[in-house]
Amino acid sequence: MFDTHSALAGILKAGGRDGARGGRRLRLTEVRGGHLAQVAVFPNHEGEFKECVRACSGVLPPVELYRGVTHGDSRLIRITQRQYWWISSSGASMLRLARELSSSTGTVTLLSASRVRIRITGSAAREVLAKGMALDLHPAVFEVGRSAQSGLHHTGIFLERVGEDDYEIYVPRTYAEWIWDWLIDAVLPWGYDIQVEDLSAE
Amino acid sequence: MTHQSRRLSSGGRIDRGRALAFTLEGRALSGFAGDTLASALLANDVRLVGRSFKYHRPRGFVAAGVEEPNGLFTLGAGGRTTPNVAATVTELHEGLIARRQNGSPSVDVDFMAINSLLAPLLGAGFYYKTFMGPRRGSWMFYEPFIRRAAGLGRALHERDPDRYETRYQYTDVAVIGAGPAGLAAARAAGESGARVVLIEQDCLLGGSLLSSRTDDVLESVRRDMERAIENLPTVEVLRRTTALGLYDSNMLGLVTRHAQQQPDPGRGEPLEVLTTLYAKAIVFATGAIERPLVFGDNDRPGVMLASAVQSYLNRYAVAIGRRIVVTTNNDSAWYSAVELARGGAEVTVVDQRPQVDATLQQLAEQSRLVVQLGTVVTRALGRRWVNGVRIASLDAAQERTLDCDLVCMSGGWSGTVHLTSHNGAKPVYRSDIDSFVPGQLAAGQFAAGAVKGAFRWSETIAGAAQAGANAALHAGFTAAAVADVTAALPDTPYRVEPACKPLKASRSKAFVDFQSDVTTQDVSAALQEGFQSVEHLKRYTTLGMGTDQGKTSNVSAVGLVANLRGVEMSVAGTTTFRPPYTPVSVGALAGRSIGQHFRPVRRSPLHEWHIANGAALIEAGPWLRAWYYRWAGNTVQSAYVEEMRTVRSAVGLSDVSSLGKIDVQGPDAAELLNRVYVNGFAKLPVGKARYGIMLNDDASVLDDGTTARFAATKYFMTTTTAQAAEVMSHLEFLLQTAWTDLNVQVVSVTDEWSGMSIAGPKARAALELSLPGQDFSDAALPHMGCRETQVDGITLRTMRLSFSGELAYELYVPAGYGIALWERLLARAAPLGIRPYGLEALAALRIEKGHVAGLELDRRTTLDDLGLGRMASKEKAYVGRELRDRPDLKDPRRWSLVGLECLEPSSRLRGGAILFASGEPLAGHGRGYITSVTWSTELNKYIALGLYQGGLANLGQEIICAYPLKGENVRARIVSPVFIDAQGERLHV
Repeated sequence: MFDTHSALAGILKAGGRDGARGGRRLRLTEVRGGHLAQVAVFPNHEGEFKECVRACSGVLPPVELYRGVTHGDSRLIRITQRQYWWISSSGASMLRLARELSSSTGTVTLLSASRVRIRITGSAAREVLAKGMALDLHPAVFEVGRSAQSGLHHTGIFLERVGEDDYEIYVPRTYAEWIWDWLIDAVLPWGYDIQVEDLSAE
Repeated sequence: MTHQSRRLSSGGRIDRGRALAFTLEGRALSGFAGDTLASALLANDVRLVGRSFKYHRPRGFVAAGVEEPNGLFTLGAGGRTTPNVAATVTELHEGLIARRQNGSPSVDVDFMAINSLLAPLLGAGFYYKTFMGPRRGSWMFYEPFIRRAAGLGRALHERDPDRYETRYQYTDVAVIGAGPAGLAAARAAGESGARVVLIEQDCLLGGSLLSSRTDDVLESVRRDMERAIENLPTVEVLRRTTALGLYDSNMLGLVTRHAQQQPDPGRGEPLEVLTTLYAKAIVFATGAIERPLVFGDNDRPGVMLASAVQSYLNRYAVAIGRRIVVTTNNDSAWYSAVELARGGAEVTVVDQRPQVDATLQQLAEQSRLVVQLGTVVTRALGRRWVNGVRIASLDAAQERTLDCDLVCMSGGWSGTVHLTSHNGAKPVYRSDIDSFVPGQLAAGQFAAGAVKGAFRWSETIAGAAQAGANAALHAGFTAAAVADVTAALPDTPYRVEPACKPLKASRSKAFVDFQSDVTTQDVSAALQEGFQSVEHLKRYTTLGMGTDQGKTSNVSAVGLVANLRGVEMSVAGTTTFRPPYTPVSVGALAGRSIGQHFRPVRRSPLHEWHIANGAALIEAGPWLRAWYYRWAGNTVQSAYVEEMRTVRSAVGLSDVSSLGKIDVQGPDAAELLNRVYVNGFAKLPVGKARYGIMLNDDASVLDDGTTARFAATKYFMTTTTAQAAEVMSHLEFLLQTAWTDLNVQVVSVTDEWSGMSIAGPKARAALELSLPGQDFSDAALPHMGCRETQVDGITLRTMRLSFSGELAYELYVPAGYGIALWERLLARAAPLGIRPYGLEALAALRIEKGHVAGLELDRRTTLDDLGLGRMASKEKAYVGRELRDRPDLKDPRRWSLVGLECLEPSSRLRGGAILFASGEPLAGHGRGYITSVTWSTELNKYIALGLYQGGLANLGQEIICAYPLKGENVRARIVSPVFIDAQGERLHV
């Protein structure tokens, strides 16, 4: 069997550090073992597409851009007019969709290995992201459940607000070490804990 | 520590319970929390604060704010040294280290003051007149001497240990300035529920109100307004924050300073933070700056702005003078005079206006001011500190001396219009207030208070509140009712008349711009020499080009120009204001984009293995790639040759994960590929891969790569590392604009797949050992064959294709499994001698085979230039086809691809060498250049690829490869660019 290897394995060190005023107000978590697919629909095939996606994922694709719908451990987010991200702890249903979705209806591209998922938790999470991201994250503008394609410190990332003080960023794998290094520096004033969450172990 | 001899025993907004020690050139001094460096120095009776830029004249403080032209200091020590910092905006903190500038050997004893005697030679434009000859290039000789003699502080090369950060912020309404207008605007906007950011450069809110006595009614008004702001939950106040610039779409650049907190960079605390603030609406409540008057020796220490002296008295409890002359052309200085008289000084008001309003006369009587109307100061007396003035009637008929120990001047107030005009809104002149006010502001921008010429309290507060409400409305909120605080305020008018020009010429200098040492004579000379436009005059005289950006000089200069040209102020116009409003440190601009955070770095999925196994790394664009491995040698020169030999004789393994990878799917995928590649892709069978070339619209080569067909509607495209993003954009652009009818999805999967190339005559055997159960026979996987299989539960994509010219395969697995596959290949094929090889060897092998790469695909070369013209289909359309036939692109003299072999065994070829025909002079651009070069392990000589005029039409010719940087001229022969295995026999084993 081949062992899988996290892009952050060489740099992520468990533990953390106290902030300038003591305490650790932030937590950085690498979420491993999840699955991601980009799903797209061709014009005039929306009906078949929805049915096939619902059959495989359990939910209909969302209507609103950058809004997700959740069923079980599957989450679908509309990222463009015709493209969706499907995030799940299990890849089997994505493979099923890839098999069952007619090539004239749409496409499935597996991207599980291409992104590193990092969760930033804590009351200062918004301030940390504001250091590198030109996006208005005020709660009235960027509510829980909202997501966006954006840039973090010169790097294209996908962001989702998953809780009041919880954000998840999906970083292209080859930039993961660069972004992690920047994050560790950015959270310094507030103090932080680091942890790893492995979905495949659940 | 010295006694603060000029500090009053009571009053001010300083915290007398918190004494702060600081040093001036090593001399221990003290001040209080709440002081600026300037107020603390003045409290300690430090009068001489610097030497002027050009003439090295002694200078004292003029102002109390950002407009200060003279009091620039070098702060800090070691790497923290910061030159040219205005002491008037530097909050005092414990241990602050300050030095004065531009004195040789010191500001107190400055030998360079001799420049004053040379003044007749140093007038406007003297650089241009003096240092351009006698011969071309003379300036280069003079420049170091001039730079040493002139200038202010000195920058260091030492690393700054402090931390700087950048951040983004968004708001509904930004209010710039927290004076009375800003507070009123922020309150009105905040009460609507809008998000409001109130930006104040000072540490306290109140602006001009802070110059009032703390027992004055104005102070209670200030406190009420401040309290109202604090009670609004949606208003955020940014103190110690300067709005540096206004940019498109209501974007503001802000800098917040934390020096007074003495932040610890080791704990992540920044010294300064640069904020990019996006606002839906902006209220400019930036106030106004008092102007100096222009008269003889008006730059003497002890000649200050009236408002500044009032501020030092009431805010900092520093009494600078006891016998004061206030010279003015407007009403406001009278109120300053009254404050100074209340402080116990004897005050004489010298007003150029023959008559003033009766209320002012009454005020003067009540405050026991001596008043001289229709009178001007013609000259200040004294050298290191003023000790008197010469005053004269307007007709200059009578002139006499007044003794004094301080001169307060007020030439009226200039609206601080800088930010309002950064986006191109030209300020307009209003003669009734002798000031420029904001021009036509963009939608969502509003001005309030003194900046727009509102000087009465009633119009300031009411107008600002309305501006705040309008801004909130623009941002989508309904403005709330505005509380009226004006009833408690004295509603006095502001009257001003333009300052008259200096009365008579004398040997004394009358300065228009203190910081740049520009006098009335300089302005006059520049006009006489034809520099009529203020923009030209500015550059010729350097007026307004100092760190203060002419905040005190601009309107005076325009007035003088208008006067001398005999035109209206509006005709003379202003110069263009540009960001930054005040100086900004490079550290703040850089933020954390320094050192390892400077620019994005991409790392291969195999990066960790490379590091752990002795790879030397090299930057290739954003990528960090394995350059060579130390198993093969300790230098790149020795290692890559050894790695090449391994590939040619046995088998090597190389990381090619950085290649661009694009998933192309859909019923029209074949059609898309057929249109973007010059060669045919419509009939590429499933299970086959094909090398293809894409052109730009202009027929230059965009990129090359291989695309494999894994299913009827599913393709896997690879691109060069350098052009991956470009190709992806190209495809997206075409699909979203030109070919919207094609049902194709393209997705970048560069990060999804770890790629490796296994190459060499033993490559197949290595795979068979490593991946048993997979059939790698020529029949099962022929040259340019591809397939997707499962290996131990993971997906493996295999493509048999070669960059090196040897039997080779590219293997792709999901990125997380890259290291596992790589290690298995190295372990199981070890008996065959497999070794990893790096980028240098990879590039060298392709040169031997004659494959073009990024160095040849420079967006200027065409298919024909690269010898690939025959690949292009004649049967179909493709991007770039039409423009391929332009006559210039068909010119047989174009520089096109050739191979070169070195004819001198003891010499080497070099990349970038200029190519000349044998016997022709080695001058100019030659007939081409070397693009890529390597030592050939097969041919035992240096070989190269290059572009040469006429290309292979010169086959066999001997040419000269000139490398002027090293003085080398090496003979070489033009040969085929394919140096090895021209028939491709090694690929088909």
